[in-house]
Amino acid sequence: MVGGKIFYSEDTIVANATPLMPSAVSVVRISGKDALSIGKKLFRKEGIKPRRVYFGKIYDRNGNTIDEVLFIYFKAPNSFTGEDVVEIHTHGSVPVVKKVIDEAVNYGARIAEPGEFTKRAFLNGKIDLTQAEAIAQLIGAKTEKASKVAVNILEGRLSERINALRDTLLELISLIEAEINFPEDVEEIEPSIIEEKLREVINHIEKLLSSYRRGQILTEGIKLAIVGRPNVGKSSLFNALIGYERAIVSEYKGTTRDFIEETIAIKGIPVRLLDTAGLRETEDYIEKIGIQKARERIEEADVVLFVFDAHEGWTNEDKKLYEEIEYKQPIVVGNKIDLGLDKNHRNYYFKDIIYVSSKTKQGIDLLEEKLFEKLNLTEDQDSEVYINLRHYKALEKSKEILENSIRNLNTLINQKEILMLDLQEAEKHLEEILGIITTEDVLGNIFSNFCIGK
Amino acid sequence: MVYDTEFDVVVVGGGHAGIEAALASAKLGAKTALITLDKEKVGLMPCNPAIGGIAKGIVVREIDAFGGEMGRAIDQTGIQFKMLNTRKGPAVRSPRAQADKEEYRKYMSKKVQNTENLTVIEDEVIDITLKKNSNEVEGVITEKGLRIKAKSVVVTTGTFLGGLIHIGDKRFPAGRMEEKPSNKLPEFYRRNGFILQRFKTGTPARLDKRTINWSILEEAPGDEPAPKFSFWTEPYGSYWFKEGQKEQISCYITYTTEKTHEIIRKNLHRTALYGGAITGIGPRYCPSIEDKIVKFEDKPRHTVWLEPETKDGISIYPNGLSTSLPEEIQWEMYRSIPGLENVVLLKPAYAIEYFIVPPTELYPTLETKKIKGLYHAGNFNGTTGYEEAAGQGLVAGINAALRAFGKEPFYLRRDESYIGVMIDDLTTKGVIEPYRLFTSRSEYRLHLRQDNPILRLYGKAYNLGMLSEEQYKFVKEIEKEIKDWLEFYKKEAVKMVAGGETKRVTAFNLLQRPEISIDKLPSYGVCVPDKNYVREEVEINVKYSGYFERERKMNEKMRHLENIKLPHDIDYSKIAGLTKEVQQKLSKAKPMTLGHAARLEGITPAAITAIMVYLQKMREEKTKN
Repeated sequence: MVGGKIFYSEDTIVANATPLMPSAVSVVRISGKDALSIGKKLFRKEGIKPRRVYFGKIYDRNGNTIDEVLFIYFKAPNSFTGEDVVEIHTHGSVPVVKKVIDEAVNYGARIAEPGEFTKRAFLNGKIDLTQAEAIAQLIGAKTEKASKVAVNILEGRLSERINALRDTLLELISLIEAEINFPEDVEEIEPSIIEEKLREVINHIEKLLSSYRRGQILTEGIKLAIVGRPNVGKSSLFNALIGYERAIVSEYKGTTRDFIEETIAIKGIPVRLLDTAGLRETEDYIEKIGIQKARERIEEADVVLFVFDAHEGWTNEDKKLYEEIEYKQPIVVGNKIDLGLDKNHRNYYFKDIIYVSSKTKQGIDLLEEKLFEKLNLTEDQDSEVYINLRHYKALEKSKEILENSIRNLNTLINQKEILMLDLQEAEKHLEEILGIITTEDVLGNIFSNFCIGK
Repeated sequence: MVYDTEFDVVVVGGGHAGIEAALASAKLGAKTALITLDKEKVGLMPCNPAIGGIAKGIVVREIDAFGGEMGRAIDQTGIQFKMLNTRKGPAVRSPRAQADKEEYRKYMSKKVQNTENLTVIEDEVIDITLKKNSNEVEGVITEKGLRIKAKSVVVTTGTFLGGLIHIGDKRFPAGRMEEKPSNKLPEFYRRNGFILQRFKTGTPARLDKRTINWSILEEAPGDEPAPKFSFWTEPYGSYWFKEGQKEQISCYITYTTEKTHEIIRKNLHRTALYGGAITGIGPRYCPSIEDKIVKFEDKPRHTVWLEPETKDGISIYPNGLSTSLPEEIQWEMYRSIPGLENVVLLKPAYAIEYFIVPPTELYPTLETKKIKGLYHAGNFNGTTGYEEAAGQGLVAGINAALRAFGKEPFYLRRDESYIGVMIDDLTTKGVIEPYRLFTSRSEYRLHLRQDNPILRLYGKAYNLGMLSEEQYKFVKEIEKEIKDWLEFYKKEAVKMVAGGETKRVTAFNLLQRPEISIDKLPSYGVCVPDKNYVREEVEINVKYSGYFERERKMNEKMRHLENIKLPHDIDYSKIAGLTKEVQQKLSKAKPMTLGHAARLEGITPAAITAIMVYLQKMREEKTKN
């Protein structure tokens, strides 16, 4: 598993815990049995106490100063990995960090594999599997919101919810077991009570399942299509939307061909604009690209904005185009209201129009709200968790089994051992989420997604 | 004085564990001695006059599949037979029988005194001797001053070691009521570094049948036809008596009242348990009435079963009413129950405390890890129940004999028997309270049913020499018939009408439908097996075929771990990711497989992962070099 990586107790690992790039501060982390002794050789100070910050110098093997640093020692098991850990906060210079790691290796540490710190934390029982995954999510989070949710999971919010589910299920299991094992003392449980409890569990599972979609939106972002005939202001509308919080994500600007993809966020949600043609062109796209191509793109979109010129009014061309995409239930946006509304606007046959001005930003906030409503993202996100695909699959399986039990309850009442098999199977799938029972390949997958030093 | 015969196996104690141990050992041809305080008390039932019950009944049939005696004994001496959980599915059913406890005792006492290779000696074992400069048994020393040599010693002392009886605030040393305890043998264990744990159990008063108002009580008759325990009693080759074959006697049901609960609450401080006199831990699953009232205070009443102790005698066992209240309060308490208003107590209820040795000291063969040739079985291992005791006795007796012959030891796996589940639980997890079996303790409960113990175990039993050639061939033939019928049903096409349409399905698929029992097949033109037993097995196998596979899959991960052997010389301190505490636990327990390790108390899944990773690396390094 995991490329055959292995931890011996005498094995101490070292890596940069912050990215290798020029910055104000960088952190080098050492974990393992010899973390402190290696740390002391670098730091050359005695009497180091756990959980205190020391200021001093780091020396190389020849006694030359490498840098002035902050030095912290965490004693096992009260550390991130559950082992002895030393953290050295250097100035954020790449050569300095490399030099410190080099010296640690010289004194017996080994360069850590990707994800090895987190994996040690998991193996030492410091975190469960959902928390380990959350660390990966946190590191890879592209937006503030995504990191916030990752932190929630890291704090154990998802585990709590899974455990609450398991508790409900385990309670039902023990009720039925009592009836099976003490037939002379315990009365049979009413089937309606069993059904009620099963439905309760299923409801909770469904709630968690629905968070998958939101989770995907938070991490992967949404695909947005802006549709409208030429010259209704689609580009300017898009710019108005992203301009709102453009500052949040700008790291990778210009690195991909479709530069827009990775660089924009609306209210903290990554947004990928789908090229439905006509957006950047002024020609009639129906003729130029063909409606088929555009349809495919629109099909893919999570949200479609249909834009028309509110000053000019609803034209036949608008109507024709709108009917093409009506099935996607687009948000209808009347743009250019700064120029004044069309006289007939009260007679439009749909009422739910968001009127905006890309130029003055008037109504843009309303449009955003509408967008979030459409994506089901309105709920309070402070305590929110979302699940990943692995969790989703396990929960789906669990739910399927329980739904099946309800369907066959009439038969199962007289085959309680089969009912118990169902419930236990459902419960095992929940355990898998927390990593109570883990197979080697699941672990391998999870920890291979890390980068070095985590 | 040295006893003139040198034995292969000495069994200490003539309770339900000791009986099966001695008989199994003798059957394998080992020269066996059973040392007991009183020949006539062999097979005594000191608590409830019943054999079987949930999971326990299955154990009795497993013992029977190994040629053990408990099943035959109860089939001969039972006075009421029932199949429990008939409404809840075949895998959780279990037979239970009321015994005529006098007849049962006489049966067993006669059996052990008339068995080839088996000598019964009336005496008390006060010490076990070891070979010079070795940790291997040499024999035992008795109270009468005999030195008896043996290659293996099986200790089944039940509640006798340091036994102390409590009746309310009175207490006196005893092994059982009116029997002296064994106070010298604990010294042997202390001397050899064993830890002794204090356990507690209890039994209700016995009531005078003539003073109970039976007319107002609910009758609970036996089943007809009655289930039997031994595959070999008449009718041979079945788990059911013939209709009307057994004369049966009814039990009766009554309930505690609010007044009963009040009396107990008022006098709680005078019970040995709540008064603080008892420090031993009692069985959670077979609680005293005061326990039930304290722990389930909302329950307005508790069920009491009035069970006859013998066919013709006057003694009634009130199941569910064990207590350690003072005797005079017991009278008051029992008389607050409907039907018992004027009841006379023949013997008071009592609680008993005794020493056990933690079963984590044992290998799955029930041999102690510290001393070679020393085996422990029964309540002495911290279990409760005659059936649990007998199952361990069987395994200990077989292994004691095998050792004497220098043969490979034998053990039962979790996926083939409840006895295997029990011994694995005991030896890997240990006990913090008296252990009893439940179906929920097994992860293979669909497979470990009451109807198939003989099919599950006959091969193993025969190979050991516990079943005869004739028995072996008989079961093998039945097994083949079942297989043939299943094959036949898979091929046989049947026309059936469903939703107005005529469909062709196999007989197998038809029988899988919940509403179709095997007896309905002839109406579809499909023939069915003549033999009742074959018919029953074919039906269950068809109905549960899909589920067996699911059960197997669910246990796959665990079984995978079960197949990963841990090297004998593995150095746990070399594996990072293991805390010091876990390293110590593993070094001490010496698990044989990763699955075994996973079941140890306090071993986290993460620790198992760490070991798995370590083993993988070791393998890689080996192939590199």
